[in-house]
Amino acid sequence: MAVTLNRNDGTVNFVFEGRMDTIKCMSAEKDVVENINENDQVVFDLKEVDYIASSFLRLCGRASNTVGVENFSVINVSPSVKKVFKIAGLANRLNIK
Amino acid sequence: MPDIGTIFRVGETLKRAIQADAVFRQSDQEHVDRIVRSVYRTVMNNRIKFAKMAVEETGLGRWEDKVLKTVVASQFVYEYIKDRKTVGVVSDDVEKGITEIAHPIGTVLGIVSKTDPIASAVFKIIIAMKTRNPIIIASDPKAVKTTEAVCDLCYEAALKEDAPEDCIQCFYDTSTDEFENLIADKRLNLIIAAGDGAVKENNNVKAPVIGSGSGNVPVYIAEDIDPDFVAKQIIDSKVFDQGVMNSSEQAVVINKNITKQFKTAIEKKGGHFVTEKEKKMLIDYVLEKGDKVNKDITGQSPQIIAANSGFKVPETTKLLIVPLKGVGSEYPLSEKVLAPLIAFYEVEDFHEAINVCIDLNYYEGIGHTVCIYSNDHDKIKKFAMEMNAGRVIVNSPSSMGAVGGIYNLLPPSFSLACGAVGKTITMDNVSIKHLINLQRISRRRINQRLRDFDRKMYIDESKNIDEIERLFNKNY
Repeated sequence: MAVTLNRNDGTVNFVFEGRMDTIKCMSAEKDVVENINENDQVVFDLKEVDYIASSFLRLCGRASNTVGVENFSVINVSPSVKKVFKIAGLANRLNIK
Repeated sequence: MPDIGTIFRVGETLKRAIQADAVFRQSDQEHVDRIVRSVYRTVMNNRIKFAKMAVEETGLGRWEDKVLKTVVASQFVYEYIKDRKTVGVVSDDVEKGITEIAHPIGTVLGIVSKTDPIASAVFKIIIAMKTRNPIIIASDPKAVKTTEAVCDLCYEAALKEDAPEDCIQCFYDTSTDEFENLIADKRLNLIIAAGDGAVKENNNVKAPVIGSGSGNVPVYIAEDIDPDFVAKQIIDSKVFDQGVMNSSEQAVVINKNITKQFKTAIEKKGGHFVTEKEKKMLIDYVLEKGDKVNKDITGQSPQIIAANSGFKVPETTKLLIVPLKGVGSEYPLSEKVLAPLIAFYEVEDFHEAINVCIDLNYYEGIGHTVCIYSNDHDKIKKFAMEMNAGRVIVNSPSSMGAVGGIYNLLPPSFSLACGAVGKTITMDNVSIKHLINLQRISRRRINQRLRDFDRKMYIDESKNIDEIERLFNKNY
């Protein structure tokens, strides 16, 4: 798997690492899609991530569409990655911490 | 009222560009340089295919010359920018305590004309990639196929080096509203305009605009220069791509005492001085669609222009030369004509020459380019000071001379800005420095003179400027 997954009481926690470039996002997308359903709470943990490609933004969009915006959050974002969400106009639409 | 489809298409394009902007800001210099190299190499490998495609689609210019323009826009621009820093800390002055950090400016819209669909697009894409700015290339409706092909290949090349998705997009008009909506959108951070005033004169435009203007280039030939040499330069330049460049020569202004030699020299090289009868026919053709120069003439050969006007010139003719006595609407051929056709003025002396050149310069050409052939440095400086032009090209062809990188060391550019008179903030050859915002870290460095100065003097009405100045500048 491209990401580490922890499932606990209906919360699915995906822990990403390093540079989330286009290729890495493609394989991560498969893991995310296969492991979430509409009743889940989904958390993307970016503690170890220093770069995200456009595909990662799309992956966030896809996950939040599946479970609903209120059940999706992105946590532990670094300032540089946070800026990406800000500039892309997603910081207010998604739950970014 | 624009329809929803139109708004949706503009909105979607901008949304993608904004996301690309966000992602692009994470790239470091090494990553950016890899993207730029990949784009430039791809363009070079497709230079001939693109050039032939452009001529076939637009019917303008010569493919061999479009290849050279593409080489300048890709290889020469690459060579100029490749070692320059455009990401992160670009300078660090310990003594002054100022560190400069380069930031992208954001979403750029690049307008591309039908006369330069390859070079203009490639140039804008390369400088945008080098500065981490996503770019939307807006194509001229008559050059969509070529512009789209150029953008697609550049984008593929950028993606191969893991550039952000949608960092290069091509936009073309499918309805009359779309282009208007795009240029008026407040989400754009910068517009690099093409030659005409479509963008700069649109009151709805919200983004800052840089880019070239119209141009009406006078060429002054002084008596201290070899007329043979000048004749060759002018023929080569004005014939280049059938004269479609805004920086190409529009009028020769020459001292009477070297006219004969110059005429002989330029006729030998393919110049054809039109007769009074031919001039009348030419003017009738040029004005057949109204007061302004008929755009159908743009980029056509002298043979086609002559035939459409009703006379014939030999196959060896490269340039039509039209003697004129004045400048302005009564002399239609004193206006800019983007074709192998040039106006010709004989003058008594330098004084009269400058006056004619000022008339030409201010007849829809301010801010752009002028040209002088002389070895007299004082004359060159005097000429330059009277002209309102960002570029004063000396002893070189103005069309490619203004572009830079071939005949001089100006930054190679396919966006020749015309200053405030041309509704842009710079007169430079636009390049990477115009596509970054420089942030400055300013460390504490106390103004020594102010520290030693008794500031109470400023609020003391009895102290006049002489005393304040003396004490402020005191150096014990």
